[in-house]
Amino acid sequence: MNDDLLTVTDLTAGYGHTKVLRGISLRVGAAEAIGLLGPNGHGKTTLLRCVSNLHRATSGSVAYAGSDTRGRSPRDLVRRGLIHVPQGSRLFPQLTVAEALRLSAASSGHLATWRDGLDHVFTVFPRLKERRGQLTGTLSGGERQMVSLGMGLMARPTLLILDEPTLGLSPKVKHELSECILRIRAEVSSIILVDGDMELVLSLTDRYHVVLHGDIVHSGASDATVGRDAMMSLFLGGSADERR
Amino acid sequence: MNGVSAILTSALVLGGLYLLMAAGLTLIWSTLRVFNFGHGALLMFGAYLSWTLLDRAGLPLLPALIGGVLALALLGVAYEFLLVSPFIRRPNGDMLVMVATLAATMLLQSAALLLWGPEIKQLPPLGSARIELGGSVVQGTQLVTIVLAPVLVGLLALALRRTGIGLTVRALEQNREHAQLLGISPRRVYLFVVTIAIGLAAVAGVLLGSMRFISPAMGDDPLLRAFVVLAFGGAGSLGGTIAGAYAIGLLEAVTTYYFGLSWSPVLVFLAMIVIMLARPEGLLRNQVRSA
Repeated sequence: MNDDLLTVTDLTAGYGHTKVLRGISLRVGAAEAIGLLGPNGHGKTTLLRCVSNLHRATSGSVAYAGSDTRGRSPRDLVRRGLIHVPQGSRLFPQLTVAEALRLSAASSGHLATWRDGLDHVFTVFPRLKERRGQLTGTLSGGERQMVSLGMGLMARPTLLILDEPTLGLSPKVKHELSECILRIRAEVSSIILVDGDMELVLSLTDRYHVVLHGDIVHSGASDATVGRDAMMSLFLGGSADERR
Repeated sequence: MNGVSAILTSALVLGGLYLLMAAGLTLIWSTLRVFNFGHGALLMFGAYLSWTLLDRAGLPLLPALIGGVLALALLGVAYEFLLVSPFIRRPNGDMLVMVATLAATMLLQSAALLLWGPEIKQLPPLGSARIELGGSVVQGTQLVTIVLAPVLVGLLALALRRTGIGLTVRALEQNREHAQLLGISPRRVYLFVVTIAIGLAAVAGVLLGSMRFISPAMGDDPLLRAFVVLAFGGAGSLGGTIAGAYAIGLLEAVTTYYFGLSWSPVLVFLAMIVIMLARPEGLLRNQVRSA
């Protein structure tokens, strides 16, 4: 028995004959932010897709808020506050910013109070207020990410999963966005953050895991001084033990 | 000027019928990415159901027609459960669904023959209103078709634009994976879309069954024309479909008037072949939306 919001146990998953996850286990406590680090193509996104039931795991289990998520639809998980903001979504090109935000409120069961949610999103992302009538297909990369995060907030998350929110953004936009994520961090109970920017992940989370070849090879507290060199050698195929 | 008004009337009637068919096909295409070959047979079934409620159950005209449309929409629910959802998520699901809907055509046509026999049937004219337009008279079912088809499809377009479920349908069309992550259930959307589309086909069936005759093969021709409309307007865009339906209706009316009934289909399909060669994305589309 534990009070964790999310418990992933021995999860394996893959596509066809390709194994991507090799028995991953992790937990996210209530009011905790964890970061996932690691090079591309090592299973971080697949892990997140399994957690939100968009991809079916081969074996292992995922428990969210005390119950097994096996067989539950993504819709069901969304209504219970598990909100997944996917990597590099091109959004809904023919919907306006306001429509996209309303859509997220409607599909998560918060249509009645969507205007309050909208006001809140506009205080976090003032830029979106200016762009509210614009089609999301015509936004810049940074603005698209803001809409994506804003849609996540509209769904009133308990656990917010952010997959590469700053992918492909310029340093300036990245900085602007990380300020916003910091703000979100203060109001959402639990967060899983995946990002290529190691400093960003470490500054926004409580704990981190390094994912390599579909397994967690290293974990630690984000405030501990993590040697960048040590982390790089992990990324490049070394193991935590070799550092000693 | 008699010729012009006759052509216009005929174009509006035909265009309306094709619109009712093609709007449903477009809706199904843009969300499920399948072409529903069963749409013509469903139109036919809608006409027979209405006829049964009117002639056998003895209901008054309007309740019988509405009942027929609702009954067919219910059949649409079964259609979705039996033919669409078991196949759509498998590998190559879109092909499986297309084959299933092709099978549904034969099933429905044979069922109609068994249930209602080979004698041709007809629904009475819908209403007795008549308008004189530049020397030719438009009345009854023709008038109803001219008004009802654009109104119904206009309401559908408005619903897609304004309502929550409409927003959901458009979101699923545009980004399926992200839509699911937002908590949109594709199953619910498919069910909604298929039911609405089949309901519209039933309306077309009732109108056609009153203007012409009811027979097991009555849906074949409208289905083919609706296919031309989709090729013309670009499948997946309701605006293109509306324009396409009336353009094909006009083309058919003009060619029938000047070249005769037997040449008209030839010329309509010739136009389709030319369009598909020159602009495979449809005349009115400037870009192909990615799947």
